[in-house]
Amino acid sequence: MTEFSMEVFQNEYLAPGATTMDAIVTVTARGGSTVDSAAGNAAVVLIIDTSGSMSAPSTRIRAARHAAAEAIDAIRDGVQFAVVAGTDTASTVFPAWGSGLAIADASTRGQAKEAVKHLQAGGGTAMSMWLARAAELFGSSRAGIRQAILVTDGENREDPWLLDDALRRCMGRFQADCRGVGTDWIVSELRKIASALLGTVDIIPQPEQMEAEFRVLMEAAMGRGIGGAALRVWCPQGARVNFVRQVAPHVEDLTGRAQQVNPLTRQYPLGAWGDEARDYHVCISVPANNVGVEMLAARVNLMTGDQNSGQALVKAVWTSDEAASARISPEVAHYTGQAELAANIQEGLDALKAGDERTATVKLGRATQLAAQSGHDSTIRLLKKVVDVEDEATGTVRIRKNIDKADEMALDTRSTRTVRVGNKSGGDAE
Amino acid sequence: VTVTCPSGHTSDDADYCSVCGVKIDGNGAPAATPAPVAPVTDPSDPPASGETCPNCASELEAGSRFCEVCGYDPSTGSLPEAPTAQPIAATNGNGTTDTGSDPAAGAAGTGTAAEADAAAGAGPAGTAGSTAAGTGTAAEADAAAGAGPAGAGAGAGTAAGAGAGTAAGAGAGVAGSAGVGVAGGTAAGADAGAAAGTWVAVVTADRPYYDRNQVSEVQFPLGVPARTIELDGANPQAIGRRSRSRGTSPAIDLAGPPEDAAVSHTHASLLPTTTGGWELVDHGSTNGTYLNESPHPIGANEPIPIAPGDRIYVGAWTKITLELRPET
Repeated sequence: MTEFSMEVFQNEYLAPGATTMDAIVTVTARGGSTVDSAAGNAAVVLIIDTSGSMSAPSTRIRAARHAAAEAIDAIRDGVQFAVVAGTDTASTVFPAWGSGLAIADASTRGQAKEAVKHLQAGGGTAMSMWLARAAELFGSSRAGIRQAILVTDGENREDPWLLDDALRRCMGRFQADCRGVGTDWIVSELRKIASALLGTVDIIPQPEQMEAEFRVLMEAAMGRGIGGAALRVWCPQGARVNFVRQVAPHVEDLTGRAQQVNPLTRQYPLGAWGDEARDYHVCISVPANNVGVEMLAARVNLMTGDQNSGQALVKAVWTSDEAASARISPEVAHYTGQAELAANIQEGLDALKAGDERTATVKLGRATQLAAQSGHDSTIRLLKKVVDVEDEATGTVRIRKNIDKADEMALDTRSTRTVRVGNKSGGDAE
Repeated sequence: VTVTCPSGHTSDDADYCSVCGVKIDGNGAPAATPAPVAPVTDPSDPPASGETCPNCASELEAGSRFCEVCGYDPSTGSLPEAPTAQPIAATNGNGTTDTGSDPAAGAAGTGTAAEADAAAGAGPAGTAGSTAAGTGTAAEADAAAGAGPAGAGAGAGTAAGAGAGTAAGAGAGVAGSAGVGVAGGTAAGADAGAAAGTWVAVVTADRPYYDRNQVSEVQFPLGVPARTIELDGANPQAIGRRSRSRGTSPAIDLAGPPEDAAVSHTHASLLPTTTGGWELVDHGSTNGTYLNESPHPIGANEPIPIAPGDRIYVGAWTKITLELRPET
């Protein structure tokens, strides 16, 4: 049985008149994957891009077939599943159309693997149709954990609003991890899908790397024992939530997803959980109070379904002791820096695309500095493929000539990944 | 077991007050004696804090972060940002009538006073009718009639139909009279109960509105595709521009690209009503909120009921059309 524990890191002391309270809330789940909790309560839909571009080079569609077979092998007995081929429409490759999701066993896995052997590339790319088909398939299931894995190698070829519309319909109905093969896909597009559907996004630079990635994704999906977790944030009358942001394992702003529970309480969906830890930055404006008053700025509950699985208290105490109120919680400082790091990388790469090398140099320089300060070695490695670093400490960099597109995209997709405070392990839960 | 907090609230929690958050000691005594946290009473009459604004010397309200007079934030020592664009002149050269200002027109000529009154009281019902008239389709006329406050409680299709018919007449100055008869007539025979459906906001860049505003410092954005945003009937739907620093992330986000910079960060909101409809409220935006083709902005902080087909104009070029799409 999964057990959650929660911790709060904050400086609860506010100077007289101060009203902003920041806190990092960490949520850790343990004991979920010791039992095979996923089977019977999990559904997986594998969505594979089979548009025309997948045949050029032809290694891509061949690699996709192998990778799909590999992923199907990783599906545990009892898990409901389907395979969808996406073009300018979506066709269910397995099981037969109209029969919903298949239940995994040796026989259905064999049939599915046989079916994906015959995948052919041809046609356009309409991701809204793929997502709609996945939603339809998940709609036939009662599984608590619903995970789609979407793999594409290209750009969505439809009006942007169609995808936005599809995402609005799919939000809360299933989660989706997105992977882009090669370098002809658009990072912002897949990030939008992954972000709306509470999943991850990454690049698979070479087709032959698909197999390993598929297996990892499928196993991660199988390893989640809790379907729908949510953060429930109560704030006192007169207070306001400035933002709620996931800050580890990657940065994701949750503020706009709030669902109002009652006038003082909002709930933020977090999706499925395995054995992992995630950190959240909660920022609250509280009404100013007299020196000496202690109040609760936020009561943060972790909900699994309707059940309260953990609680953390964010406090505020007004004091005239300046030494106490001026201190910044190291955890809050660390994650504020990580969010700034992600923003600088994305803005720097956007400037680079727009041909504004000066802005790109400044932003990526600042990113290098922040990454160095926080010991974010994997991001420094990625940055060094895009900039030549003269001095990490001051953020002095030069944009490299002849940047490999795959390196640039890897930096972009991984820009939101963070390291935990003091580089604790578990920064990347998957 | 409920506890009373030092400020006098009835709290569900024993540790901190579940209303104001103040710490509760074991016996319900105040945690820190000099802490008379004022219970929040009528928000329209906030208690004074006894402190004055360091910027304009007005008396500050207790519990309010900003000075209500000049907007100064004592905690950060900053004044509100200057408006992002010049106020847009509310000129409208078309000589259109202000549809909301003549609700009596809606009541006149209908047989059932109650329903007709409801339609008239809604104000924008007239404009809803006018849209139906403009498009001339029976389905939309039907939806407009059913979803307006008139139709909400009215089982009688004819009553609502009459409402829509007259409303269309009232709105004729806006939409032109051509389709009015058609819309009214069709709606009259239709079922008023067909209000169920999904409310969506369609956001477009509107050239005629932009031209009327005559803002030379803002370019009209070309080739902007229409965006359809499904409204979440459980929550107020903010209209504005997202801002990380201000912590705004409105449901109807006009930060683009392309960004309509003449929209305030917190500009207006659509508020769900208990009957499944919506009200529009302007939050004192810099450049105002215009409903349908009215040359006058709606009043700040006054919720106005709206109906399917209503057009909300904000910023330099943004048009938001509200539609009630039938459930499929």
